[in-house]
Amino acid sequence: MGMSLGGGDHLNSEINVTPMVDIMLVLLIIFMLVTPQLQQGITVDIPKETANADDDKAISSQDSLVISIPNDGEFYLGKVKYNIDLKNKNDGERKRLMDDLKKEIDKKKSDEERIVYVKSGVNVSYGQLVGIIDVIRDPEAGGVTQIGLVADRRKGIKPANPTS
Amino acid sequence: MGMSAETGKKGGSRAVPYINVTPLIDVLLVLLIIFMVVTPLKPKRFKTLIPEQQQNTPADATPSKLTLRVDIMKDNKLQLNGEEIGSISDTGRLSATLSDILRKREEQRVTKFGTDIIEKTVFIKAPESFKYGEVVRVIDAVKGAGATPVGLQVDALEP
Repeated sequence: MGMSLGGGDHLNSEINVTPMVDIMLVLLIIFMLVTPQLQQGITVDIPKETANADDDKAISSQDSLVISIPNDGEFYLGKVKYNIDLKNKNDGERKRLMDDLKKEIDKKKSDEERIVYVKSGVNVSYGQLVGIIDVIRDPEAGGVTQIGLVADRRKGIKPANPTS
Repeated sequence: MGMSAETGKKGGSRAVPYINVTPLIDVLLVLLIIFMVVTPLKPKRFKTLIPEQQQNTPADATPSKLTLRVDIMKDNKLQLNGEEIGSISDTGRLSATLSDILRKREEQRVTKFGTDIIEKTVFIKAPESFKYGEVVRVIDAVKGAGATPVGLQVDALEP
């Protein structure tokens, strides 16, 4: 900070930019390292421009069951992958998913908690979604009939008829 | 930091550090913006109900007079209980019509059999080959019109 007093009483403060840039770079690096760990679950291209999807913070809770379908044929329960062949009713992977689902569902105490969220990508074939719904409602997987289809809402829009 | 200290204690040669606040505020603002951008968004979803798995063929279900069914046809057109009513890209008419029907039911207190819950269930049926994104558009429109719950038909779909 160069300042020369005496004679004319003018102050001249020059901001030294270098330390600011240093701090910004450090912050940037910190955030680049931290952000991937903030995102939980699998990256799925969910519908983003809906007008009426309702808020539900249970989706990001550790106790909730989220089945992700990023592409046709790829199914994840949480972060665990299952390669299910939907055409084969006796598929081993299908059975494994049903078993794992049932284990989790049995832990749910109330009816309201018996909901499975499905995070499907916009380009996934509807038949795949139907197939996985069929797996979910199977009594051997817990027989859940409430499905939450995860989608994003357009910013600034409130849903017209919110259901909790 | 320009400082001129003369030898001796002439008038005191104290250094007066003063902190330049501007860069601190800049850093704070940048932090704030980064947090706003990076925080996970509030997750949202459409709650839908699906029919329980039936052991016998589903043909024995008799549709009630109150059933509202939206069919998505292979040519992207929509049908409400059999009547054509717009298409996937033009859900306005479907929303308006459904809105009307459901509002009338609310006014006339048309309830589910045996309860006093207004019957506002709407079922959606789509061919299996369609993309999920297209079906979501219809679900969105149906939900916006006031349907609750939204039901998905998952048996006997067209390929």
